[in-house]
Amino acid sequence: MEAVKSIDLIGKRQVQATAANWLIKLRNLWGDHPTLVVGLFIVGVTCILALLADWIAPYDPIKLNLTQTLLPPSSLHILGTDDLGRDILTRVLFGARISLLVGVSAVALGLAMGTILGLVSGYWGSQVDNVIMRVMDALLSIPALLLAIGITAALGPGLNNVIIAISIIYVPAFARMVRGQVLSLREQEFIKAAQVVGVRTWEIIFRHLLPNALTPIIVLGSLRLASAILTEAGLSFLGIGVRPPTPSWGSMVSLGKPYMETAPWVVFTPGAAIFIIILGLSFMGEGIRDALDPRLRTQIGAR
Amino acid sequence: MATYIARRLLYVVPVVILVSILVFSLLHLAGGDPAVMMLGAEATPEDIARLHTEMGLDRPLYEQYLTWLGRVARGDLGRSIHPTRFYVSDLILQRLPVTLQLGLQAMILSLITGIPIGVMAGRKRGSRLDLLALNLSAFGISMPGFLLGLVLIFVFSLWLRWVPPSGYLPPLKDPIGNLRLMILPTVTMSAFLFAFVVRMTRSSVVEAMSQEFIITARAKGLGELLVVRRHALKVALIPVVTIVGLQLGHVLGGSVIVEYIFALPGLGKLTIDAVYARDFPVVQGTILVMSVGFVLVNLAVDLIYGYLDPRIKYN
Repeated sequence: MEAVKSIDLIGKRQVQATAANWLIKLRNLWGDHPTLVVGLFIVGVTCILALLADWIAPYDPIKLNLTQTLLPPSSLHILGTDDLGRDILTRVLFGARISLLVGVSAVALGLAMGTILGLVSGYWGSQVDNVIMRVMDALLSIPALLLAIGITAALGPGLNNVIIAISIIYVPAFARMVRGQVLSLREQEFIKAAQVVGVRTWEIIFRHLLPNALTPIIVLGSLRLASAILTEAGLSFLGIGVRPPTPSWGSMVSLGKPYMETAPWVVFTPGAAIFIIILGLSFMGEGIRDALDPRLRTQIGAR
Repeated sequence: MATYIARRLLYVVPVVILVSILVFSLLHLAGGDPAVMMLGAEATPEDIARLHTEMGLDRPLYEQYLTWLGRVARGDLGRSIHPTRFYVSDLILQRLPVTLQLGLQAMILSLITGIPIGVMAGRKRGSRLDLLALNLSAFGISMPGFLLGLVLIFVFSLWLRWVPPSGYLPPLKDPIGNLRLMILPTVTMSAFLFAFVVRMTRSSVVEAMSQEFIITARAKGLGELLVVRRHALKVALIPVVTIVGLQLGHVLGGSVIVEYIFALPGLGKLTIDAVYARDFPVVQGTILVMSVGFVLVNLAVDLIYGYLDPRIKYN
């Protein structure tokens, strides 16, 4: 009996100890990297809201209600309604899904393509390297938004095409950085040892080179998220991104523009949502960079 | 120095050629018949056939590209598929001054506001002013251009009624009217650049202030103002001014959105209107011209930077 009690007590204490530990860790994180905590908070809340949109959104995001158009914020519609009578809070919540989906997929796709090109370029060197890097230079020479506009113009609007168009913007940055990492890693003992022992090339690349280049890849990826979401919003604002009636923040701003004088909430609610998520993501990205490796500060700037 | 310039020039050639290949391939990116893509499904077979012969779409791709490149090299960017059949080069020359004015004004505005704030922040790192500057620049970077533009229209045109919300007047005909209409677009365009200038200046000044020649200047009893003005700034501002030049890409990309919001007839508006009309010769022409311009400005900036900062080695 006594023994069970004491075990119970130990268990409780351990729980308390881990909880206290976590609190201390959180407090230290707050002390060392306050921007990271703020950024993670904003991004975390947005993700949760986006995931729960089906359950917490009060209305249907697409169904029209022409008797309720352009209503100002009230207890029925907390953020008002748009020109087609749709609840703006609902559309902003569902719009978060599109923004996050496009942002994360575009960066992931660009990261994957850029990383592979960078690994190939850095490992094989010589002519392969030369060709890949010149193509990357050319891609960087086309202003980012123009490149995305050109690609969506060719492929046509729509969710997948927007993701592809935005991802291509980020390929050169990843390729260049990974290449640089590979160039310096290639000369190190453990890679040379692996080559001498006869480890297969793809195994050297993916088991030895890639894991060692991972930190800057993660940092660059998190820094690019904000700009990817901004680009999606811009394309949708111009009417060549995600197509209405799918709720995208950019297109909501654009469609609300004619009613700006009489019903400013239609424009500025989704606008504020974009601003907040961009702020959160750039805080998070810069926080991750400073927390993981402050030396990257000078290497990885903004594009 | 001469070999450096020569090498830098030689490096530009393949990049420009690759850019032209990328821009050319935009038309064929979607697969299918580019003529059908441009004219739409309702086009008559005769129209499609005419566009085929005009643009040489029946010939093999490399032949199309080489013909196109040959024409582009002679300044012929083709003709709009729009019934007006304007020459793309004429359209671009017509619209270029608007975008240039907008871009230059935005760059100047961001420099004259961003540099003083960046210098003050960098001199007193960690102070309240520094924090304010950092927050301001975080704000400028997170604010989407189209949102800022609409906020400015809402406040200064719809509410205070100080300036008209959108439109354009040529500066030679009506300089005052032109400026009144250009104020909001210029501010919109400069927000991101401003944030960038503040950050760059701040870190550049912080770095300069920690160098030995500053300690020497202080040790010989020079007043703080002179130390900053005569010694620190000279070194700190070179990278700032040149790196702002490199932000031209952002200005050119941003011009699409800013000119769209404020109905300015510049290159950006030309591009997006052409995208709506699926007028690919115009889309390709504007993207090509802006990209090559961007490459050449980068080149010029590099060379000027090398000239200004003798610490750069040319090997």
